[in-house]
Amino acid sequence: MKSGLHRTLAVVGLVAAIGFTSACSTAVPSGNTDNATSAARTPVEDLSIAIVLSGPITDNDFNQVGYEAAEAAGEEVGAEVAYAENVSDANAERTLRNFASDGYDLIIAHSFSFGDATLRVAAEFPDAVFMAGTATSNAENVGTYDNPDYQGAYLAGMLAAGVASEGTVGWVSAIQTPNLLANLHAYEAGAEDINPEITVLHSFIGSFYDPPRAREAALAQIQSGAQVLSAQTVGTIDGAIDGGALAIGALTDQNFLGPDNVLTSVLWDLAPVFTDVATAVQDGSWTNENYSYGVAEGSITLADFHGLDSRVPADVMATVLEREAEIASGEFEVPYDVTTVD
Amino acid sequence: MRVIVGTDIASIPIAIIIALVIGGVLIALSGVNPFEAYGALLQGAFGTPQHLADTLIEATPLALIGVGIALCFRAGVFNVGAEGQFLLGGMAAAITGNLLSTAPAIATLLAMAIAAVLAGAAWAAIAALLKVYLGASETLTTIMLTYVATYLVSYLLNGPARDPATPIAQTQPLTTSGLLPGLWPGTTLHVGIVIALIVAVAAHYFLRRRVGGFQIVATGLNPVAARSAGLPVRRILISVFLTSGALAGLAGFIQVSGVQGKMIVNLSPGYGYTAIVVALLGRSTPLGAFLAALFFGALSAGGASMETSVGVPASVVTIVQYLTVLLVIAYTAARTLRRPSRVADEEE
Amino acid sequence: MAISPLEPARAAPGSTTGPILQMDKSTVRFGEVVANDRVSFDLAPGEIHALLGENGAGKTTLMRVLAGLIQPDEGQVFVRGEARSFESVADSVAAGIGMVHQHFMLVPTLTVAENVSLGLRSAGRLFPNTARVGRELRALADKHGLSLDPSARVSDLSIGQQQRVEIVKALYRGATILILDEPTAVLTPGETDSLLAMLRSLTEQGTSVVFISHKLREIRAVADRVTVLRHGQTVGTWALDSVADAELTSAMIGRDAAPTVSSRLAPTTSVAPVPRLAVERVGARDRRGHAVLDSVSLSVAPGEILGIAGVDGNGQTELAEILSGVRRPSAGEVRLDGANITAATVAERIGHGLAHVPEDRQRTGLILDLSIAENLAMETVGTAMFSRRGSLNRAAVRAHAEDIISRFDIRCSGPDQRVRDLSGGNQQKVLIARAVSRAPSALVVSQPTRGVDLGAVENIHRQILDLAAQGCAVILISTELDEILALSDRIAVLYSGTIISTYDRATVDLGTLGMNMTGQSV
Repeated sequence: MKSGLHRTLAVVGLVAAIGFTSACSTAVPSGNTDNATSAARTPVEDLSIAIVLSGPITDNDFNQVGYEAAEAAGEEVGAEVAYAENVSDANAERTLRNFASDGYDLIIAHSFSFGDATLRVAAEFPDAVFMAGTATSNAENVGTYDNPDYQGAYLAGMLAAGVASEGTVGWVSAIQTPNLLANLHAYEAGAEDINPEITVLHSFIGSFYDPPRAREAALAQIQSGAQVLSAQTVGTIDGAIDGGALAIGALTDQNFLGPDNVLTSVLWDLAPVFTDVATAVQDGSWTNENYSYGVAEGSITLADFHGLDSRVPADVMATVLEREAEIASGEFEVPYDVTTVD
Repeated sequence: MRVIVGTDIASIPIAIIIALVIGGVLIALSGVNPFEAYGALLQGAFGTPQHLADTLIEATPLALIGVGIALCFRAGVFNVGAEGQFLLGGMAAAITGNLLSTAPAIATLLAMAIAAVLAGAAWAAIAALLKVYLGASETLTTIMLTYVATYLVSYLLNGPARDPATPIAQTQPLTTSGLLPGLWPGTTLHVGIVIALIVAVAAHYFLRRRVGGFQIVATGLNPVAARSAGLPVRRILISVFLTSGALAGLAGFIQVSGVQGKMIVNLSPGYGYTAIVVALLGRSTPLGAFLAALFFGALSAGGASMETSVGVPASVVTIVQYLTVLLVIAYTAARTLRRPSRVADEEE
Repeated sequence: MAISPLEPARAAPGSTTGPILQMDKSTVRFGEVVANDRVSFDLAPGEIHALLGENGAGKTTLMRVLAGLIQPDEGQVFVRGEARSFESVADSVAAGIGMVHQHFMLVPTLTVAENVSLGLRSAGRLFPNTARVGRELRALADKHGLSLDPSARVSDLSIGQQQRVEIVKALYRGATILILDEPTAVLTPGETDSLLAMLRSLTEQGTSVVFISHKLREIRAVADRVTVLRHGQTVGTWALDSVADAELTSAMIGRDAAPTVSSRLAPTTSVAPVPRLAVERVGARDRRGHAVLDSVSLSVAPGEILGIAGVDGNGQTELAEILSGVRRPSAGEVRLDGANITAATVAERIGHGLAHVPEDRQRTGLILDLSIAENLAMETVGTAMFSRRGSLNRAAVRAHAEDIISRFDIRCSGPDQRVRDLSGGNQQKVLIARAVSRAPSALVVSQPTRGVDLGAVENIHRQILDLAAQGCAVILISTELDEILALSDRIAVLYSGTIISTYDRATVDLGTLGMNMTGQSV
């Protein structure tokens, strides 16, 4: 189960912050583009990778996603991988510095709140490459990565609208951050793609972590007729179970939270990003860009339905799969909209 | 209290050694050579100038808070809420620093320190007044107040005090006038450790040489007799509590100004709680607490290195820290039980 | 002076007629100090055997050997003729020895039955059957004519009642040899009588008793034989019906008996127009709101000693606390030289020349883990005497203590010795000296000689009398009628929170006071 206020804050906040970064990089080109494109780096033999995580690597969640992706990337490119888990914000800088002074070539700061610490340490170790979940400015040796899960939200919206025979679906989240707004608007667009008459309810519970409140918001939406809920904050799935509705999970396969209620989940896989970054560091082609890997790169996917696909009308399922392929091929672009809502 | 204050000094190195041996067994069980792991720990704590700096930087907040808690122990009260006082001190320092961002460094730093000290002391004052005037257990109130402080800081950092340039719950970064000067060029060491040392020495002097210190010790040993002898027991309890809160607040200022450069939600990896253990290991004496803070700082800095270089979880270090204190307490308790209280010898 | 001790009888192993308990040349050394030097005595079945000696004579060490708390360096202990060595308290209890210490080993927050059940396997390990223990305790107490409520909380009991709990606890645990350390030091005359009667009734049922005391009158009233200890050695053993008091006293103190403190020759009879210290219609309530003092009015003139007699727990503690400033009265006023000091703090009263000696030297009087010097300076540490601008003058603190130690004859290794390591009498001297050495204008002194040996009693009484002779007004609160009668000019009896009678010393006797103390008017 989900546990630990700090970790959840970090997770949810990170998602928000990554979205913010991606918003920036989408809306405003990075000021360091010149540096980024001109700097050719020395190729690295015997690549070593370190990842610094704010929570335990066994959290079945954000930190596990990051850790496993780093391990997978290391396996793929033949690099040694070290990690430090449960690193608090207060200790992030020291941990990053330890890795850098120990000579690690690629250091991944896998928490939204490690940005400033990463920039400070990166300035001291220009030969190492840093990847930060977010950074307020891009230094020459600091790249960023984000989670464009709004692309998956579009598919989730389609699924939800296709299942909701009464014409109402719901969406429950924390607070209005750019990332979550993009997610909501894509979800709405996807729902309307299937059913132009659909009603999409949304709730921002006003807090990053408040499961009882998320549960109440979910139940309220169900009482207003919502049959499927997008669960963007902890507690939503519990509400869906209590109210007898379906839910779509986020980040990892959350079916285990409600085997009869969690239709599927929008997965985020970091292995493609980390593998590509590691390869680029090895061959010297790495640049300090923002790595935004979505459906096209195989980073955003739908999880297994665990048998609940029987609840989805066949024509809807077919349309969803078709749309997914179009997003992947670039034929269809999911609208990116971070307008605030009521 | 007598158990805590009267610890046999000899028990401390013994306890440390036993705790390290048990930690070594745990390391061996996780498949790593314990000598190699402890080698990495030593290297990480003292091996390079930066590592030594890390040890001292980690020790600083523990020493400041630990000295305050030790004073409380000596007076016979328990400040379990230093964590909250520390966070509010950091918060007050960051807000003050940002308000005065263009003032000269000395003025900014002084104002930040004063704001932090006042914030920490004010938070402690609530628990102190509740205890002295309503008899509320300070152990409970300080824990509750820490929750309130944590959420208050979280609210401020997510709301009014948040840096508008980022969705992250943190204040604007301080300008250079709000940053503590460095102490050792080439490392990140700042002057905080000197402040902590001065505080520890001053507290030591106070307890030994000042009337107020004598009254604290007397009150802690027997508050009933102290009151009966006309000592201002209430005032003493309130003042040690305020001092302890002020020192926790000062530590918050030092972390914000010397390490993070801004206020963040997770400013403390549990300094307020670890410092209780530091005070215990330091036998509730200021200089003892300072030394215990150095020991814990080294373990903490070295533990991070041990984790990154040989892959032993840093939690082993936490286990060693707490085992040390448990062993000291157990050893003292065992001696106390085996040798009946001298009270019974009274008529000899 | 002829001393003719009896030869101790040696029991044959397994004998049933020989001594039930015998100590043979038991020697205990603490470093340089020999606390017990070849101490021998024997206890016959059904006998009450008194151990008489001044404090420091080795009585408590002897008792601790029997309790299994320390092991003798030489010598042996025989129980029913068999040599036994007590490695622990459990060994001693298993041999049928029950201890009643002077300082009670009770947990104040637990009930009587719970205290008795503590560590008692037969009561049930994790969840003692305190109901059953309570019933059995009540039966046991009734049998011996002691009133005891097993469900009462120990903190609510008077010292006398707590002692009863200790005795019944030892009996409940199957003790056949009962060792009592100064058991009457804390009791009222009435309680003492019933204790002595109970001990006699116990011996008739086969229990044997070692009775440690320095009160000859009680020893004579209850004991069969007496062994006198001095300087850690046995002076001798006598049958009480064949020895004179004077002989025992000189055996105990090693010289002819000192003249007893006489009552004052020239008491101040003319009452000053304004009393030095007075309370007017003061009241006090306990934590549950019950009145423990009700409209008490008293006054004492300069040079006068007012004795407050009464059984423990009738409001003495509260009265002393109100006078010293530790407790605020729920009604009434406290006046010093006519000025209302009801709201003054303890420190302010000390500044105005009021001194007080709390009743319990270990709990409320002294800070045992501080040194003699620190305890002596405690009340006035903030004055110019010991500090300047808040900076402690340790040299002055020490010098003051050295002076006090010699003036008040405090037996110690020096001013830095911890008070905890002093004997009870010397602890009390420290406490008295702290108050008296300030030359106070008024003194409130509670139980000044409780649990203190004869030599120290004399010293302490002399201090109080000298102080009064210098014009100090003294309120003496004591449960020891002898003490009240020996020192007071006037005597008031406190019963159930009220003053039920007041007498001039010359017009009252022990019997009248004793009746008043139990609530009977004459």
